[in-house]
Amino acid sequence: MKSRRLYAARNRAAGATLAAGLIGCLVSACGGSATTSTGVGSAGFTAASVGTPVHGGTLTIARSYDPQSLNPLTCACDNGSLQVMVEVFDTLVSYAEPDAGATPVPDLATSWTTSPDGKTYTFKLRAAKFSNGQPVTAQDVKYSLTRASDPASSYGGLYPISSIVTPDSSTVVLKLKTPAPGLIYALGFPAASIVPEAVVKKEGDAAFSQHPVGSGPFVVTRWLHGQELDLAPNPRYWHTGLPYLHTVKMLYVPNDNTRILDMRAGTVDIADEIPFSQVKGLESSGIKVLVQPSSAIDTVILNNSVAPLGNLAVRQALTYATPVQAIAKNAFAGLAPVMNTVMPKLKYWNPAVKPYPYDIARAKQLLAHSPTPNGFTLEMNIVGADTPSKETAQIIQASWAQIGVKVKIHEYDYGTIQSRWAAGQYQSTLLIPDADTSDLPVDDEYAHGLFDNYQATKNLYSYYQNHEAEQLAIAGLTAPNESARRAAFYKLQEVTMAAVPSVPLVWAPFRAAVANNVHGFGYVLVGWYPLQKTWLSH
Amino acid sequence: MGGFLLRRALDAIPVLIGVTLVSFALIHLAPGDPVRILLQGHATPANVVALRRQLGLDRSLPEQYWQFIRSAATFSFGRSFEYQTSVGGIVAPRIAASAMLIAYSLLLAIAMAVPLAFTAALGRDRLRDHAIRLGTTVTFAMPTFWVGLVLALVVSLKLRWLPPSGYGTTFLQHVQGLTLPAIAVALYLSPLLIRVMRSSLIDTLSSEYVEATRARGLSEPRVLGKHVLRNSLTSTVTLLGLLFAVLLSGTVVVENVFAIPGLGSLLVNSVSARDFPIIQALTLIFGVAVIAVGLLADFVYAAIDPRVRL
Repeated sequence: MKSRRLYAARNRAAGATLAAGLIGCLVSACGGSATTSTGVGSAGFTAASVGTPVHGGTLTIARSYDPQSLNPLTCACDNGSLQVMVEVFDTLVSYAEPDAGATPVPDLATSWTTSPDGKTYTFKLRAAKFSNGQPVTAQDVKYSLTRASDPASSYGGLYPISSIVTPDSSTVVLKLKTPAPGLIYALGFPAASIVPEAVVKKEGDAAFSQHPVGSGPFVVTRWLHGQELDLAPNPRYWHTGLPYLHTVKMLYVPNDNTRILDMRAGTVDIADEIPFSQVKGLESSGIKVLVQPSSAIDTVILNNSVAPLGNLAVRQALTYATPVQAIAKNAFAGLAPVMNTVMPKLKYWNPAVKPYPYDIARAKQLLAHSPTPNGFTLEMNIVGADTPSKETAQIIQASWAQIGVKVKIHEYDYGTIQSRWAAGQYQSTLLIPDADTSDLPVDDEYAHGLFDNYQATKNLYSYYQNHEAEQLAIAGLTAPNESARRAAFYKLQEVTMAAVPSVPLVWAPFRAAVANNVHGFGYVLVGWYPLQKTWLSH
Repeated sequence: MGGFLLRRALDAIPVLIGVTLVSFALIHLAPGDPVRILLQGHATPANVVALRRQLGLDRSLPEQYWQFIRSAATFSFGRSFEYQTSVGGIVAPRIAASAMLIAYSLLLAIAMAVPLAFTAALGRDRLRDHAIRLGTTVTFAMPTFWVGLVLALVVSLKLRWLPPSGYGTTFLQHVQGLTLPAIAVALYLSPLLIRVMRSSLIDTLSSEYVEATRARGLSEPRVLGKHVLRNSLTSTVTLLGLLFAVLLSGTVVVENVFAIPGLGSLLVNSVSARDFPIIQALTLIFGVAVIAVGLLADFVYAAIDPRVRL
């Protein structure tokens, strides 16, 4: 569960709408005819679409994030850093293929086998070199994964590895405490990047985070904190012929409107995190916006330990009284699909679960038979600077008022929202819609986090406990085969949608404006864009 | 003169201590826990305790304050929570960008203010005076970030003269990148200068010694340049000293809009992340800068007007 650090959103509040309108008008001559939109809704990579890849060129990206630390071993794993780590480091497996990353494919490992009991993984490594010329050995893999799976490291929970054996320099055997079919996916997450043991030990973690050495497609050639990070191809990259780009310039442009201006002025080729409300405007002025599915989750998080939210009928009433379609249309410009579960939409998404229809009568009826038949007052914490959050909260406030639930909206900055949420000091809260994303393209992380982690995190601070959900989550996390796993996660989604520990809203997609000469660019589900197959046509 | 300056410099010491205390208290009183923000959703209670200890946040507040003062005395300022490297290393490269932006903005503001103030004062209550006063009221009322975006739209997008954002890596690129933000800040700053200068020019122009210089047959440029301007400068210099704090806060917004890697944008990021060591270092730097400029203003003031040295 990484969340992006929300700096950019601060500027969205005051005057953003005004400025946006102004930009729209001046540039596209207000009310001008709309051209056909090409980017919206296209799923997966734009890769295969056009022509034969050519080498060379400089790709300039205006990014809303500033990388903070490039050491995967001490990964705080904010999105700004992850994006760079995936270009610089290899993992045993990766998601960097054109199905938007639902299936792990060989990366540093050429093949792997799993023992029948699911507790032993054996990986065969390819002959690869780090960018400093040293070979990638099984010992480097052992060192990296031992650090990653350390329970004290913040991502240790993703890697339930009990021991690592290296029979020879190109074989690595991972032994697990319990079967964990999700592990293979977690090995594609940058916290499991393979680093050169000798370099890290010589330099120390802090220095390594400033000039990382990996075996990935790119190397960092310049890093000006808070301004720019440049990449060049790693000449020793094992995949000969890749990457195509000659230079990548990642510029840190925190202001949403400025990133759009950069895009319009043509000084950058890609601008990420386009505000939902500006996607259509950009498209009508002829700039393609790639909108792709994400692993994000946006719900009204309820504190189930606060009365009357612990009551099932009350939570169901709130869900029926939430006009999700209107929220999707107005706060997300119709670009975000409505959730039919209370989890992110990942590999084991159950399409058969029915979303709650907007039904005020039904909500009133449910509330009438609850301990609070006449409604109650509910505080809702939101990030004041985030426009979609604000619009969502206002729509909910108006709608819940109809069943007697008076919502008091409290606006805070993102840091306060996160801290209050994690300390249980809230009644209900919205996080940033696309801030909280699953690190894995499978359901394991959120199934565990939301329903099987009460002791450590009060089930992601929902204070919601459900024995059946807990058992289903465990079943899915440890299932011996794919069908049992799918069955458990399917059932988990049914059960938890019926119980609605939080009020499901939308799955916010990723949005990036992309110039027409950029090819092979796209997001993987878990939130970054691999660039080794990206190329520029002239 | 030396004694005067020394007294003023000594006065600054309690002010600085006050600045460090207040900034320290404010960030610790503000809601938002840096450990929770760093660890995000997946942290176990053990992770939280471990990180709190690692960052030194488990110590008592007086201890933490003493730690901050000690690290400030050596200019290392400790380690940033989120960048995992020394605060000095993060802050130092950004000072130049902010300093250039401030200098550029001041230069432009003065270049705009002096001729306009003269025009208004010499044509007092005529059309040009009213036009200037009305115009400056309008530019003063416009929020800087908005002015910045409009400038970027017109100059970068329509005219294609300058890039809409960025700071570049060469001096020329710095100047190009800082031009629009400096204009935005200057448009905010110059109305205040123009107003104060105009009224003090009017006062000076109507004084008897100006008449006397004219009577002695001095040329008009000489009268205005040597006698009028110099005597009206005292209030302007005082104002500039006071406005420096406003100027600093103005750059915070503008740096963010134009993606300038200065201290202001760093401060905003660090406050979001509750990166205490960076916030403390920056408030101290800003405090020192404001005090230093105040001293400088006193010095200039004393040089212009000997009476203040008494």
